[in-house]
Amino acid sequence: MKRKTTEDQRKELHYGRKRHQRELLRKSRFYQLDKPSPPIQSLFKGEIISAPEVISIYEFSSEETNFYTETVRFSERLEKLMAKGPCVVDFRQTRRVSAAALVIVCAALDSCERDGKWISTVLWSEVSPSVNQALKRTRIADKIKGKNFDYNFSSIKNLPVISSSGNEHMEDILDYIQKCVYENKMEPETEHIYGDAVSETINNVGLHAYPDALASSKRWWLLCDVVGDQLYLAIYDRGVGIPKTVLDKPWFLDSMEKVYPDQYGEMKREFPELERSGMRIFVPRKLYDTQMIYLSMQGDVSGTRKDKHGQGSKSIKALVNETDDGKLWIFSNKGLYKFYRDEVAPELYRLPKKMPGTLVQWNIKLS
Amino acid sequence: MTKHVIKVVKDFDPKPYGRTQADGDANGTKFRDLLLAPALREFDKVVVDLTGYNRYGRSFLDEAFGGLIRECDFTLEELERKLEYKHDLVKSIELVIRDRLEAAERDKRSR
Repeated sequence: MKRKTTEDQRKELHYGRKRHQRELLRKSRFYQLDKPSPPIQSLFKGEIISAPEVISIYEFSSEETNFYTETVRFSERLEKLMAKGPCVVDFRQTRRVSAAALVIVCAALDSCERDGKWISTVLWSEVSPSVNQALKRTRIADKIKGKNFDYNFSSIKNLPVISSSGNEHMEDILDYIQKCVYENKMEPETEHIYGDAVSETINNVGLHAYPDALASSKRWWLLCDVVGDQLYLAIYDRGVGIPKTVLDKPWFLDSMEKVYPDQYGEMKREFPELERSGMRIFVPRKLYDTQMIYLSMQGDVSGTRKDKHGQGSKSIKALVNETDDGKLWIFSNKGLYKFYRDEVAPELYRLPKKMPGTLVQWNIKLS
Repeated sequence: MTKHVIKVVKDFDPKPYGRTQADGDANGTKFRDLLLAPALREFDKVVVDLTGYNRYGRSFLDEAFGGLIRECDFTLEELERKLEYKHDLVKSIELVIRDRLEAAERDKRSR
């Protein structure tokens, strides 16, 4: 048997004394087994931010399932409170998350300007392991905890939410789709459709989101995900939104007159003294945001063709048009535009709460 | 007859992107003004070979080719005689260029 050193004997005596003191303390304690556990506030330091039961932006039509509003409110609270100090983000009751909604959450986390380097806490979902997986994979949990990380595209199996500006990382994302989603078997024609759509969407971020900003500050977030035989790609920016920027297009009033003649006529009758350009500020009184997005996606339909831009909407639609079961969703401010294919009229919805910025999402069936 | 070949990925940039300088250095305006338009003025026939990169965005193609009519005073008829463009693997890129040239010609006429 190994002989104990003086140091070992000293440690043994120290811990023994502590054990004895603890036992004395507990002797007078009475344990109540049905006593409720203490509130979270007393266990963790910081403001509690409870995540909704469902983090999704697709359901908003009924009051019971208005997950859209809850998700936007949750991201607003995250941005506001995480900037002030350490928080506890509580996902314990979250049972479902959608990829696109996580992009918005991630952008809110990136956008909050923290005054200090404090660490927040994540309370994992107790009802859904897939929610926890999604929080880890998208790196949202790491962002909440204040961890920094770099994207290493060559070693990533599943892409996290990518945050970038200008066309930085665009090629990496396309390489990822080529290698990991299509296993290097993507046809050149398919690669062109993806390349065109992704590059034009990113290019459009500059046009519709941050019209007066430098390329380096035109920030966007992207998530690419494969679920079953569907590829989901969501690109989000926190700019001014399509309904704001489409108003300044040289063709806007001509297109409005053609597509929405009643509203255009009303506006002219109400403000006969105004020049056409002066009428623009009254357009939001006559058209909903979703109608403005529709006009933006139609581009110049007036026939005057005063703008060389507008190629982005063609590229984005082409991606959806040329694949089976394709769907395109555009959320911007208080409007949602859903496109299936050219032969089908797009669906237009009014959102119950303003989406900060624009989110463009494709669902494409993989061939 | 003088002929000149421009290989985009070799003579310009391996990954062209965007419309103007605000989009980065490999933009369509730069390609048009530095390489394509001068070549069209100097040679009888110019062949633009886009092979080697499959991810061309419409903005780049529109500015590089459609911009010849909008900004550099070429006509569609003139370009049909002098300009040839090809991509060995992606024929839809050639169709986009054709579409943008025709759109630019329509724009010019409607002004």
